[in-house]
Amino acid sequence: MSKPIGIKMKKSERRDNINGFLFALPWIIGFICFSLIPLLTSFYYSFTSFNPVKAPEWVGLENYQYLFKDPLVFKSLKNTLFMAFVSTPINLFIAMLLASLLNSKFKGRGVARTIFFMPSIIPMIAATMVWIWMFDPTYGYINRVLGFMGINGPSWLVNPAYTKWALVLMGTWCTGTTMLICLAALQNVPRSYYESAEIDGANVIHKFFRITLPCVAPVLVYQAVLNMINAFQYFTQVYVIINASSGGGSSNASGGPANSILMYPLYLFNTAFSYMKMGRASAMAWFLFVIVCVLTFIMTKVTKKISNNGMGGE
Amino acid sequence: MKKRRIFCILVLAMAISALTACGRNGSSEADTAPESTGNTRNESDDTTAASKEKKKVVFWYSHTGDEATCFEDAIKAYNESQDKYEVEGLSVTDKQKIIVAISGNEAPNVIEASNQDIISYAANGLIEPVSDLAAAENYSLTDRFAKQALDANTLNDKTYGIPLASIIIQMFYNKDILEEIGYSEPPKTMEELYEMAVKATEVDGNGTITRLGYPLFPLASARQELIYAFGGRWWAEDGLTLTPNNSGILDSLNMNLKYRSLYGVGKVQEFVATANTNRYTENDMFFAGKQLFRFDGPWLAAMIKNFNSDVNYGVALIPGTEANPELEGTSRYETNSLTIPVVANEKEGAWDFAKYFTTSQATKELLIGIANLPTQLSLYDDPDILSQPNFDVFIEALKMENGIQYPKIEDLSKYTSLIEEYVDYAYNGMKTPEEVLKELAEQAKLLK
Amino acid sequence: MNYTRAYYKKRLKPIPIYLLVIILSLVFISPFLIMVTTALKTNADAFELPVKLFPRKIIWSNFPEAMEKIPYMRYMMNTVFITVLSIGGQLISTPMVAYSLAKIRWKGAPIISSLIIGTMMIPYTVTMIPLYKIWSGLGMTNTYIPLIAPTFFGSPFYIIIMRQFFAGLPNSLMEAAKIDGAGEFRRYAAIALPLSKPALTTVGIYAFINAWSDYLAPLIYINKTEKLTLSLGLQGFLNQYSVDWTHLMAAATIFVIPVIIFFLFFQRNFVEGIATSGIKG
Repeated sequence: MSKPIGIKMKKSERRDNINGFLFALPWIIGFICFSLIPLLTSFYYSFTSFNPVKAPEWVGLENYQYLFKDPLVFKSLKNTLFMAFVSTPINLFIAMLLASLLNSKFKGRGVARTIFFMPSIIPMIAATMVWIWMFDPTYGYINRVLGFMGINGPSWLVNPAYTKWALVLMGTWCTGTTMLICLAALQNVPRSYYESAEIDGANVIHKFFRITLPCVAPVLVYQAVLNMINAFQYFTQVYVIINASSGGGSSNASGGPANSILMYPLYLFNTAFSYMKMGRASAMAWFLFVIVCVLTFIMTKVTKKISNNGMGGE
Repeated sequence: MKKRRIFCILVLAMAISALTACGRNGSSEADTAPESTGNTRNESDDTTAASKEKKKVVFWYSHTGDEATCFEDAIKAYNESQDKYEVEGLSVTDKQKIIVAISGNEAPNVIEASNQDIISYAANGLIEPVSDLAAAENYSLTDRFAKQALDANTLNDKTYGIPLASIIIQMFYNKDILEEIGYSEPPKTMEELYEMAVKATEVDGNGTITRLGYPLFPLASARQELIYAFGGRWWAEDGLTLTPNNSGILDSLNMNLKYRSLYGVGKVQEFVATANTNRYTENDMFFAGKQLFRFDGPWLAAMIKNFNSDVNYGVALIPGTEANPELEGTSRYETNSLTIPVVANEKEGAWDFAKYFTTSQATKELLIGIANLPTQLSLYDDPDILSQPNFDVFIEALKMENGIQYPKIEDLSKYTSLIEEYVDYAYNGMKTPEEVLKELAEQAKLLK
Repeated sequence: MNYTRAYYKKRLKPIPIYLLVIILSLVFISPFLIMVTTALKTNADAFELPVKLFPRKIIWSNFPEAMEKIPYMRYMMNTVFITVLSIGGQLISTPMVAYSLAKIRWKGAPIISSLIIGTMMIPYTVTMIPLYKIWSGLGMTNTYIPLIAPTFFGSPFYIIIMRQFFAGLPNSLMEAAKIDGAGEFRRYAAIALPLSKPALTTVGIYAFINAWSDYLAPLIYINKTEKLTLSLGLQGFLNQYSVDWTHLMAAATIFVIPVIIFFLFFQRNFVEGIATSGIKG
């Protein structure tokens, strides 16, 4: 290690540091302006009372105390958790199923992939409108098709026991992104694993549980995390459904039949922009953030464990 | 190669349309400018130099379609009636947009909103008390408007909205169906109504309801008028105490459930769901003769006319019960009112326009056009108003001044949300009425 | 005998798969089909029982009528305007940041990388209120700035895609340029960028689709009728009393078509982009 090289290294290192920083600068500024500052301000706001025209006024823990007393907060949290823990696994299951199908060899695979994927790029509002129309018990196609199979379909968007299942169903239609990722994961599983398993005489089910699943597990868990975070942001669909069906005269506070699709973000949005309680809404937002962080932390721990157990990942 | 070319064309098309969009933005502003100067030229002799330019007043109303046309006509009448202000109307239906706007930089000068919204805006300090403006120039609101209309827009002794139209609900019934099941008169009590409803309800081979007797749709009246008719009240008259657990509500829910259980809750849901899908279209259940009773507002009559529906209907007061016949005609009372945001930049013009808009010949024409009931005392006995289809019954109900007004509590929207939730539990057979009212009372304790 | 059995077994084996694929394809495609066929029906036809999939008579006039019921062209222009600028913003910022993380060895890279993944976890609702407060404080509500500006600072998801792509580019190319005396920016602009067209396309399409269908942000920031975007404008068919189903479906169809066209054109980039983002992200 002669001295001149050391100095040269340092110089280029410094240049790299400066360049790297400059190149990343747009994101750093964006992060500070659109994430960090709002995040911290939101935390401050959660201890204040304010509305769009009133400046924030310190109220201490009042918003949080209110939060835990408000029956609708828990109702909406329950609905949201339903989406996170029921809809997510179902979506993953459907995505895996479709991906496995696309991973087998048949003609027209590309077309099938296009068809399965396309729904997930459709603007949410358009998709939701079509589904509302399809969910009508009399004019809708879903119950008509169920009728052909001898099943008496429910009033999807009116019966509080079915409204969330209607959302789950809608969700499975838009699972294309997860499907593509699963497909890529499946294609990454080394052929040789299967071949050696075949020599040992393993059947399809064996192969799936012994080889495929462990190999794609890290990807699946990661997708589960993303899907869950999305579930915690579930908004547009319910907002549109409620708007479309509220002409019957529901107030703007409505959360669907028996508040069964009052999702946490929707209630938060209403608290902020309809009831004009922005401090309270900020407290709700931070509560949600903490929940998401905890869940993500648990999920990543699980992921690490799975990938440490071998087989998975690259 | 081919793909790429098509893509280039697409991108080009998008870019061009984006540019023209900006171009149009610019030109539309340019268009309006000469127009306004053109108008002022005619009247410049009698106005002062300061008001040579007509001042712009932006007005947002919540109606769409044909009703919006009626609003635009009334706005035009105002613009022609004076030369100080030029009102620009805009149809904005989204309540949340209004809130954002009146707390932001581009607030309209006048907004039309429901009285509940007005109370809520007032509580949050977003709008001006119009009663102060009226007092300043000795403009008597009480001489011009019905007391209940002003009460509906008053918070802490200040009136925040000038009432434009009254909203109440009464009973529409299908005369042909009534005759078919052997009655010539609409029901006088809820018990009688129930009897007729059961006789009129028809189901097909699958048990699907093809004709509904009991007025379970629209949902809003099932949560309000159907309960008021039994003397049920969600809040006490003081407008502050919440009374979710009272016997009137229980009676109403019980009769409702008795009806539902005859045909199955699921089948009723199905009918209601579909009624909601095609509501107020030409296929509306009532217009199509598939509903015997319908608790709805006067606009229903106008729609029946507009859709050329041949449904043979009548309107009567919502009945009371056998025990309390005096409850007849009880309905919610709401208004659509005009109000002025605190941040409005042209308050004088806004006030001038609001006065005109609520108390002129144009008001009458507007109310007739959108089939809404008056709040103006002078219009209660106006022959033109009374000659509107079924307005006689509605005006009779208005004059009874027994409309139910919403309580002015902070958590009203939360409370109504909870009411809807718990009534839905009962209507969908998920909980018994007793359970529902008990639990609702528990939850209501936490509200302010 | 034995030969034919084996033969048939081989020929018939894929049939269950085909059947399954066809059924699933039908299921996935039916909402599109229903949207389009309902758009082609008269109101009476749409509400006729029993329900028929295909219209009795094809009513093309629903499309022009739908475009008149709301200021469709105006909303379309607004949406296009926002979309074009958003795509531009993402294409400028995303590759730069990604390049910094993948190709420059600097101290901050690991921290920035984990922060980027971290921000993906922040629910929009948490930053929604302060952002609204900031923008309205700056008098920017009712402008498109709150919708467009964030795109010029890169989005985590896109950065991850780009980073994966850059990481795959051989370092030797950059080294060679470095020896030739090219500065970092030259290397980025003259070598890395031209090579990353597929990834750029992917990011562009994502940006297109997200901007085109964004709902919540315009809902919060735009409240002037003439400034609405299409996704908000569709709400115009849910008027205060009723829902105008046939025209709504017609409007939705026109709204969705550009997205589908874009997708069909760039399917491959799209699929690859998603796959890379998922595997290693």
